[in-house]
Amino acid sequence: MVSADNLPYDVLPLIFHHLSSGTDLVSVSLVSKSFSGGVLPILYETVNIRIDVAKRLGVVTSPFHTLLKNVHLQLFVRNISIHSIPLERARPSPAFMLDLCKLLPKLTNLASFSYTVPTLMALLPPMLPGLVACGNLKELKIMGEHVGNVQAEMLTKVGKSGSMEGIEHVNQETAYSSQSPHGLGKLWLKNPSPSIMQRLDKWIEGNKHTLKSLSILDAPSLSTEFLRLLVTHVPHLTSLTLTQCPDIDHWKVLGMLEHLSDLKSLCLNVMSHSTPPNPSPISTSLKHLRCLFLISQSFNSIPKLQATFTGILAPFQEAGLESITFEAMDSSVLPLTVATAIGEFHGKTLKRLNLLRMVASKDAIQAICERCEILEQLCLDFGPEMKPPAKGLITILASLRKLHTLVDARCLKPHHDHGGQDIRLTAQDVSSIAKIVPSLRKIINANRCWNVSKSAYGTWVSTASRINTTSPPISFIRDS
Amino acid sequence: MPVLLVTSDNEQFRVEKVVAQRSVLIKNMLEDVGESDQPIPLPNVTAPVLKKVLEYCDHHQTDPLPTGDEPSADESRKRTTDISEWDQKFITVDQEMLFEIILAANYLDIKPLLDVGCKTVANMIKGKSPEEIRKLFNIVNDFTPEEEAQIKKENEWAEDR
Repeated sequence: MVSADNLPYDVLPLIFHHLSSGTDLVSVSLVSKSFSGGVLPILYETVNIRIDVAKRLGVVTSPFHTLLKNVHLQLFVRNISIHSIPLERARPSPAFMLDLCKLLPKLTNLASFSYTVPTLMALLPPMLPGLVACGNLKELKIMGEHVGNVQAEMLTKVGKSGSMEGIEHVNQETAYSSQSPHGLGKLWLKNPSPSIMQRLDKWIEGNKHTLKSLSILDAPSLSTEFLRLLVTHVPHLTSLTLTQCPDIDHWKVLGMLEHLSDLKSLCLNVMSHSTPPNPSPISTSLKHLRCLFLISQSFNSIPKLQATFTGILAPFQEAGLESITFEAMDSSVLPLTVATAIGEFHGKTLKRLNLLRMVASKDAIQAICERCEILEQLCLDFGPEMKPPAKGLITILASLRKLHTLVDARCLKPHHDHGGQDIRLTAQDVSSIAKIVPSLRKIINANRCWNVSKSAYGTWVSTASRINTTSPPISFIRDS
Repeated sequence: MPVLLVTSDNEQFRVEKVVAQRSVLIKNMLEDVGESDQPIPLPNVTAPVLKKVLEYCDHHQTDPLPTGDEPSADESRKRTTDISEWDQKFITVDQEMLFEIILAANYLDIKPLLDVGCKTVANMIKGKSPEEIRKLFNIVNDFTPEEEAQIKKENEWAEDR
């Protein structure tokens, strides 16, 4: 007789892969030896040290210690994300850091490493020799502020231990068809030190056959000319993010995109002082662009804001954007003309629209809803008009027949610095909204994710779960 | 053109090719053999289970076939509860049949059915303590108390608080 206990070893992990909660995975590991054997490889596939995990590591064993002790589990580690580190007497725990540095060179299958701990101390450099030894690393996300010359030189070798030389000498076509070329596919760099900036050109060029996604954040010394040089190395880039780089003019970046015809996703700061050039520098050859993320400074002139946003949206009409996110550094209002431009230029293709710190009037929402027939996700500030029994705005949303997710932008902000009162929906409110907008399946509001479904009796039921408020808002928007 | 399938308990099922081909194993066998009226033996599947599996294949015969570009394990984890109404009704069976369907779907290589079975079991596990899971599936705890304490200590970091 078949039972859960005698299922083949290869089937158990297929079941456990559908468990998303860490608590469930730990519970399964304690059931029996066969369950433990099936679930531990999944539990250690991704090691995520969030703030709540780091806080507990003073009293519970660290995953890196467990992995050093259980050599057979090291093979299964694919992703490590460190967002916080345990402290001992207000300093980073030496045991935690030592275990991590010892472990890294043993993780032969590590594909992605992320270290985004905001700290004044130079904790990244000791990890670098271990990272260089991880020959299969494909994604690297780091804060680079304390990286000196020696370590920056080491960084340029990350993800490339092995047979990179072979790739350098073959022609480009062969390199792309190669099964698994060594090199980084995704690089995310925040606060790069002067030593990193000096080697960035060489680093990017060294990964030119593999690099598909490049993000540079908080790099005051990055100039437009240097960026142009970097971009020419990676013509097959599919994702580019440039934020908080004050010397970068968004129009000049948009002008150099003609070199990146495979680009699918673009995230940029738009500057209020830069005037839209005539003719537009945006190449119409960007047929693959699907996601546009614009972060705007405060515009003191509404006509300038309108001209900037519509000037960027219009040339991408041929590409047909599927996802648009506008984020304002300081709270601002979405002009009606921009709302109309969203519908006019991208209404036929747009599936996700996120407005962060950008208040949309009822008329603006109506203009969007009239044209964006296939919109699936809408993120906006919930005001009193989103709280039943108010119906006006909710009725407008009902015209979006495919809308399945509605997100309150207020709950995604890192700081509650917005004016006005937060709207908190109850289960009854969620059911009322779902009755009016029957396509809705998920509403995210005030740290709650409401899942909506229709019961056998035809009534709408909703269940709430907490959302992870430690997630940075941008990644939350992208993940959802 | 119908295909003849023979189960481990020697029962024969005559089914439309389009339905049988939801199984990648059978599809590959048919492609290897070419046009033939030879019966296809399925030594790992009994008649009651095959009947149930074919009910699924028949209902989903017009679905697009999996392309190999399926979402990663991480992505699919986020969609645990994503089982259609018909599939939910279909998979409401006793525990033994549920595991038999999972085994058959794995052997016959019918990925969407395997997913439905695995998600259903995962949903049964969610939120339960180790003891409750043992009770649910009638599993004997084969750890010594020391081993159990050790596993708990080593993996406690992963619990959501």
